[in-house]
This record gives sequence, structure tokens and C-alpha cells, in this order.
Amino acid sequence: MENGASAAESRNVVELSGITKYFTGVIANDRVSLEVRKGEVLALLGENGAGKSTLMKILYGMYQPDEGEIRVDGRKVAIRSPQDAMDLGIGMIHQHFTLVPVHTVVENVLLGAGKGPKARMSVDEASKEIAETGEAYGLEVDPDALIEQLPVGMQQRVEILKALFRGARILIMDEPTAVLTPQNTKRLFDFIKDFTKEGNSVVFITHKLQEVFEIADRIVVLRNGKVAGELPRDDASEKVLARMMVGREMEEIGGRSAGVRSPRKKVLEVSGLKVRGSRGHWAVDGLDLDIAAGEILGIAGVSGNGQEELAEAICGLREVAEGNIMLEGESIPGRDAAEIIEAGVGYIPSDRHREGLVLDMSVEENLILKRFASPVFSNKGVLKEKEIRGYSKRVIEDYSIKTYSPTERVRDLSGGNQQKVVIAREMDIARSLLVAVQPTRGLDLGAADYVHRVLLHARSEGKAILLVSTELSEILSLSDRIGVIYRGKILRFFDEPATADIEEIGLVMMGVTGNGS
Amino acid sequence: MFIENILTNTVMMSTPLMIGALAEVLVERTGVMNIAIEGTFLMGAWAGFVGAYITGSLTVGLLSAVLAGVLTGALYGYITVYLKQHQIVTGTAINILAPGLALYLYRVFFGIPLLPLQVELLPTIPIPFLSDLPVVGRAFFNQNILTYAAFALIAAGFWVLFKTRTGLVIRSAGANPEAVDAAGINVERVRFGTVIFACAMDGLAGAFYSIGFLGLFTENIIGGRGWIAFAICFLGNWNPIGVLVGSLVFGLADALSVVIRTSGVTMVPNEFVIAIPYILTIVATIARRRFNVPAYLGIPYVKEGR
Repeated sequence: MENGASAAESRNVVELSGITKYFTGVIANDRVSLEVRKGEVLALLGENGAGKSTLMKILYGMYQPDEGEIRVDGRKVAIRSPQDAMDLGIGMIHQHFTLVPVHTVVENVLLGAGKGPKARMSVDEASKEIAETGEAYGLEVDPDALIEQLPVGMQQRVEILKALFRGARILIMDEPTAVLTPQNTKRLFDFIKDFTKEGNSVVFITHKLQEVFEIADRIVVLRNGKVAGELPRDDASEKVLARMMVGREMEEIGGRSAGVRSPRKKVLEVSGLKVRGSRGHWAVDGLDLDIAAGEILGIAGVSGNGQEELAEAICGLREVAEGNIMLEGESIPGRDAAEIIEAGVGYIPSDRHREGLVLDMSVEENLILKRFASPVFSNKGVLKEKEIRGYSKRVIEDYSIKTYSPTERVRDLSGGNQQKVVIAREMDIARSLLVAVQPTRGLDLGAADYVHRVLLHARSEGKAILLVSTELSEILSLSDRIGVIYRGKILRFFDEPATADIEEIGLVMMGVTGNGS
Repeated sequence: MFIENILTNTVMMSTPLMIGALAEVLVERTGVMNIAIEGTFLMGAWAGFVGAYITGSLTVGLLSAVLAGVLTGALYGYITVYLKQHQIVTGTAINILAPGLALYLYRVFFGIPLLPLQVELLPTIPIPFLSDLPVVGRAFFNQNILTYAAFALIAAGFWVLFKTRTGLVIRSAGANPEAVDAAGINVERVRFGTVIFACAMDGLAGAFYSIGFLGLFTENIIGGRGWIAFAICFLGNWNPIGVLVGSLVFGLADALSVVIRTSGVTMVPNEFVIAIPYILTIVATIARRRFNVPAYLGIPYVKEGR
């Protein structure tokens, strides 16, 4: 009876209107309005940082909106915690699971019932219900199995079962296929179809275009925290969606001189590189690239496709499993980070707080962090304070780092000035190669522009630069060449960024190779 | 006779260890490493003695010991769970504070008596018939109320921890507090509540030494036995059954050293006997490969949210 009625009788189960959310001055969601209908799969599509997860965390009660209102079944509601959301029948499957690894499936499901009506159910009753639900939806799992012994796909099932046990009728799934094999993805999609057929709803967050066509009834695209478009699946095409996600407007970065790219003096050559990620999978999976002196090679791609692992392998921070990395004709794998620094490789990590700086140490200490053992700064293990102070003052001047003294704690500097400390240090180290990962992440426009100019200056000095960024506009305006990374491989190089088709790059970022050259 | 003696002493000396180590298991399972256990034992010993001495009632003594444990736990729990300060540092501070405070308050109440003040001991309660059994009768069925309570608590602790929903929440809070939070249960409340409960038990354990064993109070009455309970929790693999076994082993060592001291045997130096449990701890720690350490033990829970 419910079948086929989805289009005719579409009732809104959730309505978000004018949702705005700021994070310390940065706008994550900007007057977003959308609705979720009964019995549909709504795909929420967008690049990283577009505000998809934030929006859904607001619906799930993990964040509070600064403006806007939420209606569930037509009634205005305040969702102050996940508890409230679950009581309204909203469940969320996070990218990162909230399971207790040393407990069994049934224990996790019971815990997940929180203070709900089913929390008092006995283990046997709960096991029975898990088995029944599992069978009904093709989500079979042994209720007595320990979570830590289950593969990731199974763990995800447990998360879904948890939400169903609690009575979810609106399921939010945050990039659920990121951890799944193709077979498991298919089973997940079968579940989603069965589940929505019964009049339930699913919000499916993703940045993969193919999945949208496979599963969604309707698509909402977010870009920079705003709704960039909304359309039924049948009206969508990959080109249209890619354009909506990436946007047409690209900021121009001024003052760009012609490169001094020396014809083919290769500084870095990477061939057949394979590197494992922290989950043990092949994060970099047979990757080839090279960079010439005076050239910026931009690596475009959705984050999590092996960019960080690539950078870490080059800098000696992650083991190279297979393949080779050659720096100015010498092989790098097997050498430790200190030797690679010595060889002239600078590294601007994506997370400056975690990897780039010691926040509670002073500016000058951070400036010599990687080179304190050099005879310039120390003598038989004793630091040469005068030299360090002089050097620091010079650097602070050169990079116009705003600090009242070289002894100020880095923690007390603004984000832009913290990044300048990292960049100043790494520029001095990077005699031949600079690896810059998301160098403008979290910076305001002025500071970002400064970073861009420093990178271009380094290029004009003949340094080779590997620029990794998920901001396509940044890649486009700085790079001499662009490589698009997808699942640990460079799918395609674009040799002329100036004339490259953005939509085409966007498609390759989604793994669509199509009829490309 | 000799065996019976040893056994009786063993069970008696393991009583406070069982109570204290079980309390530690409960609290560490929620992710809080209650290192203030030694100090809490002492506060319990002090309050138990003072309560009993002033009122002449051992029941009041026991209740005062529980209250002292609750107050110490409230202080420790508030600082570590809500203010999220370092658990080890906070616990150490309390351990340093306790002897000074207890001695000071003792003198405030009683001045400096020439002879230590004494209270009568908790009476032994023989269980009819069972206490007449040969060898084990006296050891297991003719002890004071705290010993019976200790065995009951071990059984109850096991049941609560592994067979009830409360236990599930307690274990989850230490194994993955985020999962507890995601279930809509307040992690801080779970942890704070368990700290209070555990410290109340620690207070009782401490009172065993003052009003169940010696009948007096000195500021070094605990003499590191809080630490032993702390170690038993670890050796017992955060499991009440392990606590039972571990406490009996340490109780045996304690009993042996008492017997050897009083029997005049000079073959084995007394110091060596006293050292046995500690040597055992080190050996067991090295020998054991897999411990079920609660994954978030010692780590304050800070809710996500930018």
C-alpha cells in the first residue's frame, strides 16, 4: 500500500529553516533550509567543509544552532542533546563509531538505548529482538560477538541496529560508505531501500557522486555553508552536481609571476608508491608523480584520499611499503625524518597545532625546533642563546610575525602568525623541496594571501613545491600543474591549470574518469 | 591448630583489601584512577575510631567512616571529574593531606594522650553450626561484620558489574565514554557517583584497621595497605573474582608475617615475609601478558564540541 505513493503523498517529517551556525567567528551553516520527506532518501552532497556534518549534528542535538528553527512532524522542537533527537525518532550513524570495543553487540545495543523505554530489557530479550531486526533488514549479526572482533562493516551494522532498537525512523548517515567494501556498500543500500519503503527516511551525507545516483530520491548540495541547489535525482547529472559543489567563482590570486621552472631538472620523483594508512589499508596505492625545480605541483582531491599519507611518506614520517621516492637523484625510503630534513625537505603539516608547533614553547624555540642540534644554534649540547635570539629577530622581521617578543608563547599568537612561524622555519629547511599540506587551513583571507605569496616566492627561488589542498580554488591559482588524487592514486594530471575545466577536475575528484585523456 | 590460625588471620587481614580493591575496580571501570585510596582509607580509620570513641557505639563508628569516605570522595571526584584536573596529582595531594589532617583533628578532639585511646573491637559474630566446622569454621564463620560484608560485596559487585544495566554503564564509561554520551547518559554523573560510592567503601575498609583490628588510631595505621588494595585491583584484572583471590594472597602474607613475628622463628627474616606480596606484584605484572585495562583509565572526559 505504501509502495509507489512516495511522490504523490510527500509529507515532511523534518523541516530545517534558516539554520545558522558560527564557530568562533567562522560561519559553518548560513541560513540553511531544507526538508526531509517521509519515505525518502535525501542525499546531502558537498565538499569537505561545506557544512554537511555540522548541519546534521545540529539536527541530532550535538550542536545548538545560533539561528533558525527545526520542526519535526510539523511541530517546532528544541533538540538539546542526542537524547532529545532519539526521543523524536532521529538516529545518527557517525563516521566514527560510538561503540565499546570490548563489549558484545547486545551490550552495545542495550547501552545505546540510553534512558529510553527499552533500556531495561534483559539481555536475552534484546538478543532476540536484534536477531529479528537483523533478519528483517538483512543486517544479521551475532548478538554475542565482541565488537573488537568484528570487521568494520559489521560494526556499522551494529550502529544501525542500535539506532533501530531505539526506535529511529529518520536515520542520518554520515559518509557511511567511506569504510565499506563495494559488497558491503551494496548491502547497505539494500537496507536503506527496505527501510525507506516502510515510510522511514534517510539523510545520506556524501561527497561521492555515483552513490547519489544510486540511492537518493532527492539531492541537496551544500557549498560554503549554504544551500547551493536542490533537485530530484532524475533532474541531476554529474556535471550539474559537480558545478554546484565546486562553484564557478574562483578568487584570483594576484601578483603571480611566471615560474622559473627549469625544463626538467626533477627534484622529486615518486614511483609506484604504496603506503599504509593508520587503519592498515592502502592509503597511497601505487602513486606516481614528479616535481621539477621552480614548479608547484598541486594535488587536488577530497580529503582522505591519501594526501596526508603521501606527504608523510615523503617527509620520512610514515613507512614506505613499496615503490620509491627519489630526492635529487637519491632514494629517500629508509632514511629517517632528521636525515630528510638535513637533505633539504621542508614540511608544513595540515595540523599545525598537533604536528607543526609546540604551543607552550616560545616563538624562538619553535623556530629552531627542527634544527637546534645544528652547530649554528648549539655547541656541544648547549644552546647558543645569542645566535638563536638574533636569528629569531631576523625571521620575525622578515615574515612580519606579530609577536611582542621572541620569547612569547606560540599559543598566544593568532592562527595566522602561528602558521607564519611554521612557514618561516620550514622555508629555511626547504632548500630543495617544500611539502605544504593545507597551508591555509583555518586562516583568514589576509593570512591566506600572505601564505600564497610566500609559496610563489619560494617557487621563484627555484624550490620544488608539493601543494596539497582540498580547496580547489587554491590549487588552481597557485599550481603549475595539477594532479588529482583519488583513493591513493593520481587519476589524472592537468598540465595547464589556467585552461583546465573545473567541472572536469571536480568529476575526477569524485573518481569519475569518463572519457578523459 | 597452626593452619587454622593462619587461615583465620588470612581471612581477617584480607577483609579491608577486598573492600578497598573492589571499590577500586568499580571506580577504575568508569575510567577514574582513584589513587586517593590510601588517604581515604586513613580518613575512614580516623572517623571510625572517633565516631566510636565519642558515642561509644561501633555502629556510629562505621557510619562515620562511610561519611568520611563520601566527603573525601566528593572532594576528589569534584576536582577530577568536573574540573578535569589530573587524577594522579589530585590523588597524591589528598594522600599527603590525609595523615596531617587526621592527626590534627585527633589532637583537636583529644589533645595528646599519654597512652593511645582505645575502643572495643567490632565483635566477632559466630554463625551457628558453621563456625564449629574444623579448620575453616573459625576462619570463615567466626569473624566480624566487615568480613561478612566483604564477601557479600564481592558477590554483589560481580553481579552488578556483569549482570546489570548499571554495570554495563559503569564498564562502558571506562571503555568508551563517548558511547555512553551518545546514548544520552551523563558520563560525569556516572563517574562522580561511582567515585563517591567507592570512597564510601574505602572508608569502611579503613575503619576495619581502627575499630575492627587494633581498637585505636595512629596516623600510620594504614601503612600502605591502601596501595596494596590499589595493586590488587590491577592484579585482579579489574574483576571482583580476581580481587577475591588477590586479597586472600596478600592477606596470607600479612598473616604469615604476624605469625612469624610472634612465634620467634628466626630462619626467615620477617622483612622478607613482608616483602613477599610486593615481589609477587612485580612478578605478576611482568608475567601477565594481557590486562583488561579500561581504555580510558585516567583520562578526563571532555565532551566534543568546538
